[in-house]
Amino acid sequence: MSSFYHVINVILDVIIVYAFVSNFNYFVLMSLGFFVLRAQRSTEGSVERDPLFKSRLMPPISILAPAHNEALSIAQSTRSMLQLEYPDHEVIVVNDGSDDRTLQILIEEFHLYKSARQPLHNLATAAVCAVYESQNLKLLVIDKASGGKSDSLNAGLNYAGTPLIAAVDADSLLESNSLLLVVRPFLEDESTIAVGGIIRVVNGCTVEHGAVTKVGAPPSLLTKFQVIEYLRAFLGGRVALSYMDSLLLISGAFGLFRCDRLIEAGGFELNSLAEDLELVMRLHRISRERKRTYKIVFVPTPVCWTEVPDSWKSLAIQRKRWQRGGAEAMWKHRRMLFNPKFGVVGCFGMPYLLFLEILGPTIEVTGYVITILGLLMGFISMTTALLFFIGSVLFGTMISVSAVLLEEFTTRRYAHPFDLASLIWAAVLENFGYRQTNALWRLIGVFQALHTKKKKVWGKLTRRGFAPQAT
Amino acid sequence: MKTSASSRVRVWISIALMVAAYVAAVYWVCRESRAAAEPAARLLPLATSLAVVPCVLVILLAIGSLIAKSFRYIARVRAVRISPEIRVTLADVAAGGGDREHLRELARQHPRPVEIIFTEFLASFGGQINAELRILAVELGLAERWRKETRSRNFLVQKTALANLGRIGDPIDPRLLHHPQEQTRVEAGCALLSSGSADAPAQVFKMFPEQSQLGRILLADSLRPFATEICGRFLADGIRSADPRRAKASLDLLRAWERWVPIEGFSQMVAELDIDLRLAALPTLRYASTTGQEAAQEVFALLQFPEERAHAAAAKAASDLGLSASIPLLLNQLRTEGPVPALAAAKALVEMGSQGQDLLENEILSGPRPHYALQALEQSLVAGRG
Repeated sequence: MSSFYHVINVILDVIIVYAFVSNFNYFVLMSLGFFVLRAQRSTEGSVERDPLFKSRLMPPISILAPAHNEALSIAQSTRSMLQLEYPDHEVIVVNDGSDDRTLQILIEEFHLYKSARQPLHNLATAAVCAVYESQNLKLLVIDKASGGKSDSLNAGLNYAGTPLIAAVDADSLLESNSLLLVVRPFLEDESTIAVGGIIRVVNGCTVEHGAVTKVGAPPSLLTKFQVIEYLRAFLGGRVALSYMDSLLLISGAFGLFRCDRLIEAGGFELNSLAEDLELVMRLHRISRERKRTYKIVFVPTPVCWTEVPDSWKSLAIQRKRWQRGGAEAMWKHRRMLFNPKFGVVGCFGMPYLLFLEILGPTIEVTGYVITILGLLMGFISMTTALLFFIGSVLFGTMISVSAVLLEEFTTRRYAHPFDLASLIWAAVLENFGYRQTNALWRLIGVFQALHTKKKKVWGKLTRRGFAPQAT
Repeated sequence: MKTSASSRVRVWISIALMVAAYVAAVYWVCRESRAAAEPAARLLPLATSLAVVPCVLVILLAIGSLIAKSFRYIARVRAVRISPEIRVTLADVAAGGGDREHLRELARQHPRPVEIIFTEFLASFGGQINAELRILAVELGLAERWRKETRSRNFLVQKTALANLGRIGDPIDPRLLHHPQEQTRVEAGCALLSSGSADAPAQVFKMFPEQSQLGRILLADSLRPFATEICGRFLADGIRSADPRRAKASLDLLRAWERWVPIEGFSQMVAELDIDLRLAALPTLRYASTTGQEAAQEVFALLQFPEERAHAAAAKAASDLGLSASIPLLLNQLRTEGPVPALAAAKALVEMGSQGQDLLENEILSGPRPHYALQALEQSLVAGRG
């Protein structure tokens, strides 16, 4: 029996040491995020719209928007993409075997004609049925057999003739100046190969004519929790990781890439549940292996608004999928882990992703299970268990409130003090049930990565569209 | 723009100090709470202190920021209320009448809203009103404030100050053109140009090649009114320069302006450059060549250049210049080369008028690669209809 207690003690020690490392790491990343955002705030926001908008020196951009059963929002989001402020951009919507009226709506709304346009690259994709073009707008619609999101992006990539490619979700809204902002790292440094923008939650905001006109905190607690998660991930994590040249994820909802590097890398990975993460890992790997100078960066000012799930069921599906995708991508590129040949990406970025993002939920759930077992079997006192729980809640609260404060100290998109207060309150409440449930979903996601066969899927969630949602 | 080396160092020093303070606080709390530990969780005091220390810090920050936000909110609401009065008073004074004393009083009581509205006026009005605003900027102490703010570490503050000083014709400190931060250099260059200083175009043109593409776009726009002077005095030397960066920058200027500014012997000058610079020069041939024949020579040379990557851009230049003599070369390009140059050739043929279009129709019927010809013709027809 004493050896059993010894093992339990060791496990508890491991969990506490893990808590120390992750706590310290989050603290450093948040602090770094804060200082970097402060340093960048004035310059990032100082974009000169007019000279950029009329300059012939701006590189043309193709926006790839894969769509699958998006009849509810496709017209509005396509119009919003066409209206973006940029001197030379084309929108390529890829209809991936939709069963609804997505294609018909596009044809009718934008007066499309069947075009003879030919692909310029030859990435393998599911069969393209037809290509449609607008008579007077820079809009191309590719109608193809269903093949998943990555397959659709690759199909769009085949038809793109511009040096830069923006990959966006067809059900997201880009802010009007987002292209002008996201292109800046490419203009500042020729070695930039990919740039990610920030994804923000549109639930609770007022949307008019395809643009967010008023930013507000969402009404439901579940969506507020997700606002905090997005702030934590983008303003804390990605700003700091980008600063340390170890950014591994450019969100699939909004990223800008150099076309030649995407083609060279073979496009987006088919069958991947986290094609965005996998692609960035691959771009790092190829660039490092070929000993190139390159930059993959995150910029916090170009905003893409996305609708997040407002039901527990949809959220569970999404989180399991993300975690599973992350674990699969990590396994595929495991050779980079702790490999000095891959520099800071291999020695910091990949271990960070593995230990904090992929294995984190496993350790957290193990901690809860052992504490409950210890209480039931009597080898942990109620005081100790409570201390564990309080420590865990305080720790989680600190990270989440820091994320909200980071937003407040830097970008300040939520104008009303009530929004700030409600988000801080949600950052506290998040630790009572939501965080634990999320850890469990993510743990299931890791198990699914180990046991379930891969298949091409669209991570579709139930959307309400962009009808005015403010309360 | 990019984070400079000095700001990177500042960020890392700040992080190091914060981490040191954090570790010290955790150690202190951990030592104080060690007595409560039990064997089943030997490291519990450490875990608790790890959670408590940052939590206290964050709660303090949260309270502080809520208070600050409330103050800012109130200030914003007050500014919205007072703005109409400031606007009316400033407009009256700038027009030559109005109550100057009341304006001074408003500037004392509401310095920020007055500055914002004053800046809007300065950017919007010229002539007599602008001259009056220049005097007012000095009277209200704004010019002095802006001079100080050009040394601010906040770029937005610095940028606004520089732009305003430029608008009121105040001399710009030339050292700012060599500032370590690119955005400051660029803003100082733009302000210098708008201040009307006689040697401003020469100074800005000199710094132009050292900037990133973004800096060049911004400066090129400000240099546009001085295009003739720059072409006449500096551009030819820039293109001939042994420094490829300087040559590229000079060509970028021409591309950005899109103005007919002929430079003697431009095409011959370009033909001596390396292939990347020659490709960068292609879109500028029609603006900078003194004769069409001279430009055509360079386009023909690039259409026959051994590397295929030159051909798409050369085809576009051929169509821009309407070089019907290039049709055989374009036809060959359409039939034999990769998708990008082939499509560029088809599009160029469409632009060549009926001769090119007839050839494309033949290609659709009997050529080896009808799809590019079809695409180019279709796009041309649709564009014509649209």
